[in-house]
Amino acid sequence: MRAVNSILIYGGSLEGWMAAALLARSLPLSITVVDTQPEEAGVEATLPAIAGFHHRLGLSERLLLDNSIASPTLATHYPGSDSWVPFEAPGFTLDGLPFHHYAVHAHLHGVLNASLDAFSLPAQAARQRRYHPPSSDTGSLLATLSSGLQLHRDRYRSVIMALARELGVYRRIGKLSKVESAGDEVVSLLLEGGERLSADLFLDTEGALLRNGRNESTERLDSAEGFGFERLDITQADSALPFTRVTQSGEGWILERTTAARAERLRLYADAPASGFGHYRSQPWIGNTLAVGRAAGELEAFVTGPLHWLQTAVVRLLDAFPATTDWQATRAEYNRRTALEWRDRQAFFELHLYLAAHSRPATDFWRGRWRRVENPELRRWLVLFETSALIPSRELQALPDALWVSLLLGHQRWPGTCDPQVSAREPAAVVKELDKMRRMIDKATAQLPFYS
Amino acid sequence: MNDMNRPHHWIIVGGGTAGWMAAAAFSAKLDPSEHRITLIESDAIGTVGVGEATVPHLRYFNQVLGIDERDFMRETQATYKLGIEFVDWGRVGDRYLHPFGVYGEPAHQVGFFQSWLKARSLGDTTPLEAYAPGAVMAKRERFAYPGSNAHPFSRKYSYAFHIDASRYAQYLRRYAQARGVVRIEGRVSEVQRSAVDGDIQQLMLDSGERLKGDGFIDCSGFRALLNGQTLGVNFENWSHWLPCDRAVAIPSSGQSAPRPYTRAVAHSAGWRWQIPLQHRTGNGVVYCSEHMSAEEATRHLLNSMEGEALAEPNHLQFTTGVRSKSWAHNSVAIGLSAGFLEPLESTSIYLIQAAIMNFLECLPRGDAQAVDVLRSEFNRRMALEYERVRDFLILHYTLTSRDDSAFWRRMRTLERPESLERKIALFREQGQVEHYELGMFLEPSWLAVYEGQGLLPEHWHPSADRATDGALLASLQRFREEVERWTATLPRHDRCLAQLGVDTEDVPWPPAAMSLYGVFS
Repeated sequence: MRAVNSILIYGGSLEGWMAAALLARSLPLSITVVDTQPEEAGVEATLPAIAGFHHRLGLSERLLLDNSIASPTLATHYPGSDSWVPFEAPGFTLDGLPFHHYAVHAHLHGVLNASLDAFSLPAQAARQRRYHPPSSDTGSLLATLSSGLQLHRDRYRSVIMALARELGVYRRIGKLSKVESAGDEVVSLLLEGGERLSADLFLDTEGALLRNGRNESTERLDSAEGFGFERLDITQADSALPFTRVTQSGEGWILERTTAARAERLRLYADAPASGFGHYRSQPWIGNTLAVGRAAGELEAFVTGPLHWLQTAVVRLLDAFPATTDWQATRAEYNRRTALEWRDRQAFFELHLYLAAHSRPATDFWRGRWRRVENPELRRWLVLFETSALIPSRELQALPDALWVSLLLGHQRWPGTCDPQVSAREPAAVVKELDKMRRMIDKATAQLPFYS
Repeated sequence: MNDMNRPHHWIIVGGGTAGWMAAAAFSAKLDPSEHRITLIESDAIGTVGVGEATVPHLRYFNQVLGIDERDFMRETQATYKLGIEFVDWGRVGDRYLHPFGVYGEPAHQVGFFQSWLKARSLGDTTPLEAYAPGAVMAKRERFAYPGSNAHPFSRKYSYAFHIDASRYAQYLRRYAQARGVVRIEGRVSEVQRSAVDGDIQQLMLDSGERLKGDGFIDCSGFRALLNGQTLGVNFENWSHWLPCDRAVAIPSSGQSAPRPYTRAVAHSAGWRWQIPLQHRTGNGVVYCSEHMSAEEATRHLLNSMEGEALAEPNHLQFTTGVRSKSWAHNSVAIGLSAGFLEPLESTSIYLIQAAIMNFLECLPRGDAQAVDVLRSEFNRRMALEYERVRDFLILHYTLTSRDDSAFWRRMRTLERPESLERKIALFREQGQVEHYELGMFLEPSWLAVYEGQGLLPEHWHPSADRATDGALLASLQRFREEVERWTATLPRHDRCLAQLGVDTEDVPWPPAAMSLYGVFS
């Protein structure tokens, strides 16, 4: 057992620098990034939780927004079903019961005269391309305008790298020549230039350090087989949109993200060349090395890109950061929680296969992909929701319930029943409440300026 | 259970705390045109009257029912409760308080406990509870509503009550009957099941009356008339982990100034409770019959009781464990019929409440497949509740350093459930409390018991090193001194109780939440 005094982060991607900055901000330890200088481009989408990351770093989001490094995303647009999925649940809780039960009740009586997203201020703002930073007046509806960010990858990396350097992070430029290890422990890294670096804890953003190499210690999600990404284009954007878009296509999806300076379109499709997509490590932390970011697992969550998972991984590490290498239980707990997170990510990806298989017109391709999903838990969850409007309670919600509800209802997967306390109400009275809500939201939306 | 053309008839069997809580909640929450509720109870069958000591979640239950808190306190002879004091658990002579609240103030993006560990390594041995306003208030016998003034300490605690459980049942009975619940006096002599699907169809009462029902709620206590005797749902025996299997209870005359906390004092073969109400004190000895006889337990109780005995000793027998499925066929077990966990952390009423609230969410609807998934969702939630409470209870025993009796030597060396072993190993290693969201006892509670019983890690989070030693020690000292100063400005608990009679209805009681730590913390 020895004290943990130093951390080495391998890989100079945005992920590596984000990890470095956050660890340096919080821990009085020596932190080095081995910058492999990967080429990166594109636009990354994140969840509103990115605000917590920036808050920890003491980084002003205003600065990012004002300098065309970031633009907000209020919702994810699914044009196939014309639904808008905000990050928070639409509507307000009435009498302690979640809003969507009221929407389901009204729908079942044929009196829901609006789509679910009509009850969400962020979704309405996104539809109308309006945005304003959330009001600080907590009583105001405008304070609920929660958003994630779309980040210009290069520029954001420069900001994060500069911040990390300011916080005392060392930078070594070089590529790995050899990993010197003893058992599960990495002893040191030999760089191509001949430099030898060691540390107490290694973070691997590229999957290069773990002893058995990438393929031997990773598992692959069956339902993701064959899928992979292709970048369609990156263009100069004329104007940013305050939302992202997921368009279901013949055998995949097109993902669109924009900032004021860049727009990116990615295709996630089924007969892609072999890639890391769908691979994950069931033990991301082995010995003294932790795989984070794509090296820990690669999948698509549609409403957010991979930066979110880097952030949750580093926060998970940081919140229980071990003072010494007497860390067996700490490591097991980290791996256990990561596995819970992965399970929820997996279910969310497979939910999209389900939605695609049940969209109209449904194709054999999508029906076949959904048939291949072997996830009894997810199937149980879907039956629970579609019969009773209940979302199952689960320990770690990597993707919050609100997203599930908006996606399912936005794709017209209406439950057959709702909460009995809601169904006991007179539909006309419920509709009156809902109309009132909508008017409030419409009024608040109209107060927001157009986003450009 | 799905025919909605006529009112769905719910029959609750048993009218103790569980039965009337269920009846009251159903009558408040279910549409009377669709749901009809009957409760069968017999005056000849005594109730155990569990849960005289409660947790803050009960306030949420009352809030949902729209119950006036002061009225409730008067009716149930309630006192306020800020936590539980544990005496002689780690070692004989030890004491610590598990408050309904949180400790200290986080600094440098790390929980307060980590700073406390660091300070301890620097020689400051002040116990953790000095930093919990709720614990200090309890010790000084003060009380005020949380969140009631601008001071940040007022948002760091919550409260519950000590109540007369049978008066609470009577109170809820009036509430439920006023909302249409029909009470039938009688005993169930026979339960008839469908030959097709095994569901319960009707109950025969000893009066000869037959009662047809669609759904049944088994609140028959330890007998588990429906889910145990009739449906034969398996009972998972947990007594190898929690071997206490007997209790003897005697109420005694009230104290002039009842304490605002429950007391749990360990003895050579179990523990003893002390629950101060307005008009009397509840006392009882929980013991393991392999290590103590009923006579010894009664003698111990009588010798340790403050005040005069008001009744003959009431002897109880139980087996710790849980029915593997609380909901089977068309019958849901709520309360002692669903499982028993000793009342060391006042969880009995909480578990009743959790079952009622979860069942209302998972209320059967839709077709048979829908009911199946609702049932399994409910059972999954309840199994987790029981298991997490169980682990937390075992913690109190397994962390003991006592070796003054065969019982304690046994408890020290007990093989722990894997789910608990993992939590303890994690804490021991780097001072981390396993994080979970589903379950009632979260980090502050685990810290209270770990620290209170002397399990402390060698290491602390490195972020706690970001403060200089001097600044860290000074900030902790300032905090605990301020807690003492602030507590001294609060009214005495007995004064607060006296105020209940006088209607000073201008101060509203604070909102409640399904949390042990309050809505503000």
